[in-house]
Amino acid sequence: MDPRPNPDLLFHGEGTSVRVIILDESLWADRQAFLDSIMKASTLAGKSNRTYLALPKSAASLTDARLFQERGIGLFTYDHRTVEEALPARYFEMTTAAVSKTDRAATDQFENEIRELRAQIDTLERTVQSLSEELMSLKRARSPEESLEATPTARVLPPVAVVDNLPPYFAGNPWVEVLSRRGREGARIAR
Amino acid sequence: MDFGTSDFKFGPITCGDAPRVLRNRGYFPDRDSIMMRALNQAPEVVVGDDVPLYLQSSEDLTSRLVYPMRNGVIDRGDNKAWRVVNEISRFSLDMFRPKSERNFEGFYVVASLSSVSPRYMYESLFETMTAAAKDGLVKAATVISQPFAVAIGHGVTTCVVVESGHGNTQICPISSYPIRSALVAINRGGGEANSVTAEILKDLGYGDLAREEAFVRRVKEDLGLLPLDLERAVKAAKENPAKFKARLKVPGTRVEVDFGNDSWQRFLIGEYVFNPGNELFQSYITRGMPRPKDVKIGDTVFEGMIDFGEAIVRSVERCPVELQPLLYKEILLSGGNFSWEAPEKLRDFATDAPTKMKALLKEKGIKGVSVKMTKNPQHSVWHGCIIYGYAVPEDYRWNWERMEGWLPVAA
Repeated sequence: MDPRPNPDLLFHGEGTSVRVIILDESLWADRQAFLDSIMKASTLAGKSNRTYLALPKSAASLTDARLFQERGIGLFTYDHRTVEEALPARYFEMTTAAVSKTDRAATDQFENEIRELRAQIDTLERTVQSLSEELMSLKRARSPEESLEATPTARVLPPVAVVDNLPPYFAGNPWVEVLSRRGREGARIAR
Repeated sequence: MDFGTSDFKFGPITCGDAPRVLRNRGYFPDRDSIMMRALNQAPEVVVGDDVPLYLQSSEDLTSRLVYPMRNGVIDRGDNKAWRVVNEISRFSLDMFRPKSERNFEGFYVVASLSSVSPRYMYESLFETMTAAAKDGLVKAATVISQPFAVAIGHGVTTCVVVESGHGNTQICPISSYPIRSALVAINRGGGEANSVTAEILKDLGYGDLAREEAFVRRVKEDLGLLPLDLERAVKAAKENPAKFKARLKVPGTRVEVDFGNDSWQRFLIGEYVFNPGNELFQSYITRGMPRPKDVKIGDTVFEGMIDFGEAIVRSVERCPVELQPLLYKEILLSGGNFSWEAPEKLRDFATDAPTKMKALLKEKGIKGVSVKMTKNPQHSVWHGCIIYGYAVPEDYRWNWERMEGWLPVAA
């Protein structure tokens, strides 16, 4: 973790956001730091309505402003007395695609919880259905008017799980048997 | 792999009940950007969760951000769209490649496409899998239609699947196999509901907001209603606009839409999806709203103006007579375009998609039908793909006539 405090600034007001990435005066001669600032500004351009890079005046004279102009990045130059806008920043409409990681994480969590709940409900529904069928079978078996031999047996669904822990949507699904016979019968070609 | 119009859902059986989900899109970054030049690394196309990190100005989005399956079909020459499909397929396979399994010979991949996808889309997808097989990612591949996958995921072997997405609607009878000769395609989907919503917003003075697709979609979802009987609903809403009040305020903004005395227009939004032929829509069409047209994509003609009830009847009547009653007994609705809800206090006038569909069929003389939403509309296609991949024997080879079977792609 970088121990240095982050000097960058973000301003909000009247529905507009402005971000300023600051290259520290003590670091402007450091090529890596200089490149880092430029790349950071480039990445963040469009994430705020306007994005500026603030350079010491001594560094600004060595910089080709056209590069920033093409990308819509503005330039401030500063010394110990003044700050001047050397190049205005282009105004970017904010896109809805820039979703904060926090929002995304929260949304993912909700979606996961909803999926789990749905899976539990599916399992409960199948269990209830199965218990209901068993109960009906037992009632028919105990009825004095009916002989056990005459009672039609409940249709037995083909075993699904050869492997343990198949997902719940496999349980009782007739397609498992139908598809397993593909190529084994004189299957008709549906036209 | 479920290549949906908005989302790409993928994953092996070990994912359990829910697949992984990515937006089905790719971004082509500006390779001349200062960052790309400085880093000397410029991926041609970015997919997955990294896309927002590369997005720049909104002016770039239309050309650089590509949704390949927006209308269910990719043009043969749309190289960018195919590039996105290739990249997103590889991304998903790489994500689940076993890290330390020496005997891994590649996945059996089941991909799902729109039932109206022409043959070249299948061929291109097989090419993608063949290329992935060279890296040991795929052993065999197959492609099934989305309605077929829905029927498998739902667990019904004889049914009619009505799959409706953003761009189109497909009606596909299934009887152990898809009955492809009975397929009916409609050039109408959720996008049409967006169009009529935008026209309503313009009429009410919200022209600026009507230009933002995401906002229009939100108005559709929050304020749009599906009427059981349009004329009756409109009459009631005009007589008592306060009861049917349509108002939407976006939290954290000053953006607000209020239909006021024109709240009856909420019912036009849902009706247009199911039955655009109503004369109430004529004024919008006269003033320039695009009318759903008949179009031919690949080998399939998509009808524009046919109502959903008529389309289902037409499809079923292409099937053997003895099968028809069984098909009407299991009509499955799938896709986000059927997510209509009726507010409690308006249940006398607004309804949900299954009830509306039954009403449309009753008008055509078809009674005693059963219409349901798929149990898990978000994941039923993916469930169907997993079941298909698990159950179909690996020696059942791909055949272009029946459009089923495994195509071995591993070297």
